[in-house]
Amino acid sequence: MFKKIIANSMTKSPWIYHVNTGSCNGCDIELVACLTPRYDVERYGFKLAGTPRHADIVVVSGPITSQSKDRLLRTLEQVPNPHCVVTIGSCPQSGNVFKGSYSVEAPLEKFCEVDVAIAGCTPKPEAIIEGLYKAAQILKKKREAM
Amino acid sequence: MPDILARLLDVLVVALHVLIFPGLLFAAVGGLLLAGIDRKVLAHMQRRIGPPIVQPFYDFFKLMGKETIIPAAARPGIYKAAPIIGLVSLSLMMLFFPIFGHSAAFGGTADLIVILYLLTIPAVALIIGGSASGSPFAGVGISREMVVMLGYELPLVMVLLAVAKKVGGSALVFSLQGISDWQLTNGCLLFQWSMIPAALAFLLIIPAEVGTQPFDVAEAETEICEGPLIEYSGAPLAIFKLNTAIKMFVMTALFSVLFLGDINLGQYWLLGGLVLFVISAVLTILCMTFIHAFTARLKIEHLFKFYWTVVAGLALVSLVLVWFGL
Amino acid sequence: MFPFAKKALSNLFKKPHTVRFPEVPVDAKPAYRGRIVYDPEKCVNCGMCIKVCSPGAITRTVEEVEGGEKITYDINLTSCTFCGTCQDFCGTKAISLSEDYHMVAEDPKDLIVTGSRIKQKVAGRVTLDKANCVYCGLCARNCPENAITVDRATKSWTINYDECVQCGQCITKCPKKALSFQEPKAQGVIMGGDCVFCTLCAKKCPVGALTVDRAAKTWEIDRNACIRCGACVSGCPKKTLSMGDVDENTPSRFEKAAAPAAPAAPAPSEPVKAAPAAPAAPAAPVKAPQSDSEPKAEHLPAESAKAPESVKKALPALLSGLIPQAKNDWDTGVILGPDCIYCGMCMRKCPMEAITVDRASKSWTVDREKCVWCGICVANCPKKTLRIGDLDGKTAAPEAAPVAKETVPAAPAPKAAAPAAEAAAGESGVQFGEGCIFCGACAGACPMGAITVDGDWSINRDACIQCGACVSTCPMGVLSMK
Repeated sequence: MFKKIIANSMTKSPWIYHVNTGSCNGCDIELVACLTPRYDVERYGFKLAGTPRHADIVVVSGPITSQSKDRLLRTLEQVPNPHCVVTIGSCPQSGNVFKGSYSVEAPLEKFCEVDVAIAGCTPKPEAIIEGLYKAAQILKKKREAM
Repeated sequence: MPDILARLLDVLVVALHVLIFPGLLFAAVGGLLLAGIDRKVLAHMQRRIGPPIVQPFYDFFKLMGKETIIPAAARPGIYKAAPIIGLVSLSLMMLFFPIFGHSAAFGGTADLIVILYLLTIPAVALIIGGSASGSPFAGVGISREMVVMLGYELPLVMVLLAVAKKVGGSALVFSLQGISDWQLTNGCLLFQWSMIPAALAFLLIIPAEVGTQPFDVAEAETEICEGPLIEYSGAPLAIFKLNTAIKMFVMTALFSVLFLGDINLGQYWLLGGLVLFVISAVLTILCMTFIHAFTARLKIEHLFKFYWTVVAGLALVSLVLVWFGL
Repeated sequence: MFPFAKKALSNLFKKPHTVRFPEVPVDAKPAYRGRIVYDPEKCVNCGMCIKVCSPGAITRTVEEVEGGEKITYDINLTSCTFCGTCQDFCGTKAISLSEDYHMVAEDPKDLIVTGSRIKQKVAGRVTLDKANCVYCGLCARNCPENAITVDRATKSWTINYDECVQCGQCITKCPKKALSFQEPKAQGVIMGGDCVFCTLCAKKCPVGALTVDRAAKTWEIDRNACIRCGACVSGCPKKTLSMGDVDENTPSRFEKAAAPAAPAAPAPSEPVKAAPAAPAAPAAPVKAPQSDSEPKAEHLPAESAKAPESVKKALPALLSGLIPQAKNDWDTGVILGPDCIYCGMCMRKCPMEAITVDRASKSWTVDREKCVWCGICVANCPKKTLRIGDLDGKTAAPEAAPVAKETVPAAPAPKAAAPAAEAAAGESGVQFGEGCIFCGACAGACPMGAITVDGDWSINRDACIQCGACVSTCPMGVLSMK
């Protein structure tokens, strides 16, 4: 019973840690827009966490510049299990227009498993909410598998 | 043999008091609900819907289900023990409060002084845990936590002195039961106009004690990433979060005992007392939420100055008035 | 002191601003650029979307299957910037951006929009009908592969068949319907309509494939000998030669003009090309003789015997159709104006060495038999006193006396295109000046096809957009904008 409560709580209290890896700030703004009174993802218990140790969902935006790659990987290693990695926008998935640059390391899939990809450039806040909601369901599955 | 049985029963009763009512379980549920109400009302003050009131429960259980990472730079023993120390001291504290109609589990002549000490223990536990985590952010956080403690301890002592003097007259009364009994006959302390500055000062101390805006300098999420809690994850973090919630509950309980006192409810003492207690606790927490809603975080030096001038001044006014017999 | 305290309290009793999104579906605003929709049935595989896509989100794979090619387009939404350029550039509206923003997937492969179809093989390749082309360049601008190059100034249209994907965009975009899919034809030198039989091409030809007879006004080419080097094309002073498809079915403009003058009577033994021949002409197996001159035809059989298999083009000149029979052959030529300073520039520049200038005796003479009125002397005259115009009977050189001597001051010759110039004078736009050689470059350069050069120069003012292309193209500088 206790395990079930914990598994259910996983979907209802996902804390987000946001990593900007050289994003143009478009996706970052839209993610923050989700926290504003208009979209208010706190309704579902989503909260921006200050440190990766508290995070359940790591949200990555930006094309993963060479400078930020090591920091991103170090951040991801510090996130306690179960956790999800969500990419916002095209950049972390493919590099977008920065593709082929000497200083861009995208896609993120080269370095870690990506659970949910939210497409758009930038995605609407609604799409981000959908993606985070999906990630929360995956968190539950991961917890049950633990 | 009956002697041993009676002893065993005594131990069982104490254990029940500590673990269930009015100890750990009651305080935890009450504290988490208060935290939920705080978040919900705050959300509505910002014209959004906000999380469900039981959200802190979800947070707590989720954190319990997360992996606990102990950083390489941490001292594992102290790192894991720190939240437990805080939790124990907080659940012990609940035993001293006479809740409307219910007399305190542990009565004493000077329990107010014990509470004063017990109140510092969660903060000290936070400092110990933070310093054991070995993070520089935690270092900044604990130094701030210490300054905040210094800031609010002085006015808190002055408020308690004023209350003790008011109740006891020439002899200071440091017993919560005594204060409660005095209010049963003489009416709420809050309605004694000489005590109003002290009550205000106490209301201003609660946010600093609990660590909410504008006095959350030690845990500033956006600034130093929750300060002492930065490296914590999983169950220890859950317990720290629980500590904060229980502390909120304890502080509101203390406020209601000190200033709202006791009312003779006759035969409805069991339920009525609890309802009154909850109402007073919620009202107290709403005052905090209201302050939270329209202020931004202070700088640490401003916070210290504020407590040692404005809050301490308010407490001093009360103390002086009480000293002159008003 | 606390400006937001009141606000926080009043907000507590107001309805929240929050959009209850997952419970209540929210549509994107109109014109939101969301998920890409691809219709493979409309797609012509031109590849324009791939070319304009800045993040390279669109890829195409072509597989050979039975009956054609299977073309698959993959549009990767995780690489897309949703700029909408593919939608704007798609000529057939096969690709468009919908207002669907629900693009969330656990597997990024779910975010790839794909579509494929089987394209039947197209017979032939893009071919230009030069008679209709106005060199507007629309085909080059719409070519997704940049396979077409159009130069209006030189009236050249070239296509790189290695790059062409046969999308047909140029064909649909051509305003003159001059492009079509055709079976490939042999390449070779093509004679335009303005030949003056100057023989420069024959002189330039390194393999001697060209034979030009000034007297008979014939131009013939031995296609077997021709190596397609282009020396004749670059050497042609009238720019009437060009490289292109040798079309055996469609008569060239030149022959079209000649046809009505001489009733068609195809030579029976002409294997490749039936040039219009005069009924009076004796049986010439390969070449049709000049219709108005019996003696000139006499030497033709000998010439044709020299190259019996060669493809020969007999060109009864445009002139034969246009010039009245009563007049002398050379009723057009260089005319000297009054400002001559006898500098000798025209003599040095003349490719035919037809002009003789003697500074000492102040004489300027032209051998009308040699002169091809190519206009090079006119273009190079520093005093701009030379012009090409009609020769009246007196100045025209008779056959017997080929050298005509002009004395100074020359009698003012009638204006070349006085009616056209007068008609144009009153209106703004392109102005026609003196000195026109009727080369037709302006007509070819005009993107609107407003200019007609057919012995006379006329412009359709309603069609003219005053772009100035004719003015900048004119080799003689006689056109101007007003």
